[in-house]
Amino acid sequence: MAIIYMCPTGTHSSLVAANLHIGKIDLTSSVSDILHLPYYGQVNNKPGFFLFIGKDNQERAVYTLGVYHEAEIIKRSALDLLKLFNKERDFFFVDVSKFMPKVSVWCNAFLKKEMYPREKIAVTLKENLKEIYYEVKKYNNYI
Amino acid sequence: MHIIYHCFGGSHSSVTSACIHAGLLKESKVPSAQDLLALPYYDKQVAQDHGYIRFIGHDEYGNSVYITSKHGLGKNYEDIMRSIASIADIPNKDLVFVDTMPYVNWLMVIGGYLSRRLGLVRIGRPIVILGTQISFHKFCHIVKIIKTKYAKDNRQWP
Repeated sequence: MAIIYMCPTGTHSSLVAANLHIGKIDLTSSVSDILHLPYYGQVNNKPGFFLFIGKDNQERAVYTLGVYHEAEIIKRSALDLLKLFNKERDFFFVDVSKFMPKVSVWCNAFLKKEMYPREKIAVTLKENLKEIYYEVKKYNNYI
Repeated sequence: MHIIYHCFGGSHSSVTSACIHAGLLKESKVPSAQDLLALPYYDKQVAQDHGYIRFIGHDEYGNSVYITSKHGLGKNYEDIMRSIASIADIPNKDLVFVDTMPYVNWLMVIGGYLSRRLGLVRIGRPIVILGTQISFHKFCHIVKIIKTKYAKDNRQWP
């Protein structure tokens, strides 16, 4: 069993969602907690970059994956790919890219480096933390 | 072995290449408009269908041939799918991803945009068919490369 959180870079909103899932941070966490998460904001402009975050209380592996801004296409495609090997029931794909500030995605895509300040993204993620929490809660009831 | 052809919309170049691979189109002559329109999924997919992996057929070595669409992901599509395959413990040698976008000419781009995105089938379809006929031998070429490079590995000797 595995749960895969998807966002444009794989190191911003998906990292926050995955850490919420395994219980490393919670609703009371501050902006600096988000900024000090391991791997936070390591933009490498390479979609397909995935990270193993940890195992949750039901022994399910939690991953993040960078998919650029085509999370919907990748979700369909990945489930169809896993269907070829009869594994589609063990994997959940969760799109959390809507919680990122839109401008940051375009900045990083066109300028090929981290132009948008990582602190600003962290502030936006802190504002959206409650919504991310409800999104994560659909997949893990025990947080 | 699963061989997946992918292009922007999954309705012209990938379908043509996959049908050549699966034996639905003959390489010896350039297909007519009726031949092309009789192919499965040719000039039929719309935005809601994008992303799904569609089965086309088996080739002579027993491999399965599929098509899919990837929008603007370009080369990154293969990287993302291989990441997911590695998470799911799927061996890399079972999958072959073929990008058919380098063989698409500008007639196919314009015709495909008119026919699929804007819905002007009557104007776009003749343009995209003409473009496919012009690029047909290039698609034959990529299929030949894939067959000699990967597909023959699956051949079972008597």
